[in-house]
Amino acid sequence: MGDAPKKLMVVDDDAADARFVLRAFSETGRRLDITHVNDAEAASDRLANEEFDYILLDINMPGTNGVDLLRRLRTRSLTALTPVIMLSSSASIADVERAYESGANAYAVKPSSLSGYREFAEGFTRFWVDVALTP
Amino acid sequence: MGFVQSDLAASLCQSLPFPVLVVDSDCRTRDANEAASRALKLVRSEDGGSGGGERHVLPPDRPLAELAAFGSHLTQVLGFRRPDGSTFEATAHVIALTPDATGPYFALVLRSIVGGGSHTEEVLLGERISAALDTIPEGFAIFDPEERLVMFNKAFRDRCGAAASAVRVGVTLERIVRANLEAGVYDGIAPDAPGADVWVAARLADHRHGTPAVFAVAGGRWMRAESHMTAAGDIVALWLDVSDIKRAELALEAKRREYLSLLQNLPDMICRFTPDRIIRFCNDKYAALYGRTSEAMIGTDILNLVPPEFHERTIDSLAAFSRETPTNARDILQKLPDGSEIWVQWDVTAVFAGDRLMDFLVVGRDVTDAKAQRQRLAEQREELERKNLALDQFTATVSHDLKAPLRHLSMFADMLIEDIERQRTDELAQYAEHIRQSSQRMRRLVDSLLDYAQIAYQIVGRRRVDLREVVDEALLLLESHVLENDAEIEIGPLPAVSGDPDLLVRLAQNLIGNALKYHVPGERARVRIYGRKRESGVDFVVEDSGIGIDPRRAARIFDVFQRLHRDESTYKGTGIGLALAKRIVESHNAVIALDTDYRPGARFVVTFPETSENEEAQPWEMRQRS
Repeated sequence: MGDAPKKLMVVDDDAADARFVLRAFSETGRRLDITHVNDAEAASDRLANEEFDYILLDINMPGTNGVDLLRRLRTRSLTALTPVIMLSSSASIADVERAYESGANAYAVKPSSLSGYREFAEGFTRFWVDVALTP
Repeated sequence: MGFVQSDLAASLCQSLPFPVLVVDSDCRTRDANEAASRALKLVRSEDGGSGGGERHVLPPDRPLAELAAFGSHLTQVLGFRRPDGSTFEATAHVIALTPDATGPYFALVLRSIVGGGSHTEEVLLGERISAALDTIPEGFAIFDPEERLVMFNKAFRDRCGAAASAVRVGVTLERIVRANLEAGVYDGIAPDAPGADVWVAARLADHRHGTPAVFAVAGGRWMRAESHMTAAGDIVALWLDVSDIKRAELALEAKRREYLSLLQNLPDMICRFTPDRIIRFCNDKYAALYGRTSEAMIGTDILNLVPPEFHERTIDSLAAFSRETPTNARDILQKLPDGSEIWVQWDVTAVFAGDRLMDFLVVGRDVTDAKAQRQRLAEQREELERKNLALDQFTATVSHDLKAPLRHLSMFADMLIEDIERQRTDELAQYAEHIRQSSQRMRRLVDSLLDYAQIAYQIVGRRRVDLREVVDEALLLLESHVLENDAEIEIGPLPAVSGDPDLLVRLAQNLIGNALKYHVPGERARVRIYGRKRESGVDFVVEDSGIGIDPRRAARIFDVFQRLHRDESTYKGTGIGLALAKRIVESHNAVIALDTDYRPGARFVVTFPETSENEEAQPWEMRQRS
């Protein structure tokens, strides 16, 4: 851990949803470098060479979906242990189970309100940024 | 006082069991023995004589001397009158007695009384036998070897009806038959008809040969004439009223015809054959199955009707029948003599009497229609299952895909409110725009979903539809898009298929619309539409020279709301077009696929199944229209 700001990648094809995340995290008071990538393949390419501290991953995207990307990431040494938090509009048990089976660290359903997003951002930050020890 | 001289002869004559009447040539009675007195009911005079001088014999046609000359062993029929006036006829020997001075005398020895009952010599002595024979309903008569009537019972005479008077002892059989003929006893044979003599001859022949004959008699009755020869050469004739039996026979025959007619009119094919496989009976419908008549089939082996390769199996299958398993049913596709085929449901039953196998009974029913119906039902069930599956996927997709715009609406509204509170106005306009767009998107989604729901779950009508007409109509609906994209459309020969015209237009609209939409930006849209014949079925092909589809995504393109292109400005749409196309295709029992080998652009192939509607009198591949 150091003073360099943590790097968070948000992978979501929906620009509005990415915007909500950005707004919510901007008010946590922590320094987070947030990068939005709107396509799983683009994310995969970027993550092959660049290190990110955390990944917020949507599931339903055109082309490669989030779970397939997750599986691929877990096979690479660079991203095998990177914390991946699924952020999806789906609340189905099947999706949750699949995500965990594929190596997700956490699963959250996209909130529908500002307060909801803020709670999510707050919770994420307190755990992953403040407390968690990552290799 | 007796006329007979010697005392011995006199007492013999008196006590003779036969009536003896002694008469002169004038037929006056000179003497009568006891038996004659009884028969003639003579009153004995005081001097022991009786009826002296009176006539008890009716003068015969011929003089007594002549009759006596015929011979004493023969009998003649003579008429007798009693003192009370009653008459009777009897057969009698006429014996000339030794004449003396007072003139020739004749002894009349009565043998049997004729007319009024059966009387034999024994009956003059005892009437029991005659009474007994009179009680039986069968006509009984004895004819001597010369066919003259010796005796008869009451029933025999009654049977002659109007001709009863002709029945007398001594009368020939021919006389009796002719008398019956004259009297109209033989129903349907007129006395003067050309066949009458033949009839009489036949009756006599039957009598002589002992051949029984059954014939109709007056009064709607039936008679059976039998004759039997005795050891002495006499012939016993029996006339039996067999009306009841005959009626039963006729009724049975009528019933038999009725049942036969029933069997012939049933729609089923029926056949009965022996354990040795020989056909005993089959109805016309069964015979028609093999192009024969039922008469020609009777007596033939059932194996002749079975193709040689099935002979062994047939024999084994017949042998497998037992009392415990007497039935077997099987559906077989039979070829009719005219070449057409029908499905027949065959039921075979082995008929047992106790443990013994008597017969095989086979009933066949044409179930071609029933099978076709079952097939249709199965298809309908499959379609329903597909519909249900599509519906499940649909509802899952709907709830999922409406969530995004709902979330956006909610979030942007929250952000709008917060910014206003914080008096930050620079992004307010953006938020408002997003809200508007989200609600518009939702509305479009809902409209598409309603559209999909209405179309996807329609009951598909089935008609012969010309795909060329379908394409023409679709292009009409897409006219503006065609012009917009300056599209080049090429239409090849197209077949007719069985289906719903409206749904098929929608399908064409979707596929052609996509082909027009996904053109390479800056270039004309180029679309080719044509049909292709396959081994079983026909293809409907829509291909374009546009941007094509990534083969890796090919599997999911038919899912509801799968949009492969994020950029809504270039390619507008809600992504249900192909899902709808797939649903329409499925309801037609067809399949749709993306031809991943085709490039550049996309080629969609819809394969319709083989139906009779696909066949045309003229091969459609050869039809070329502009």
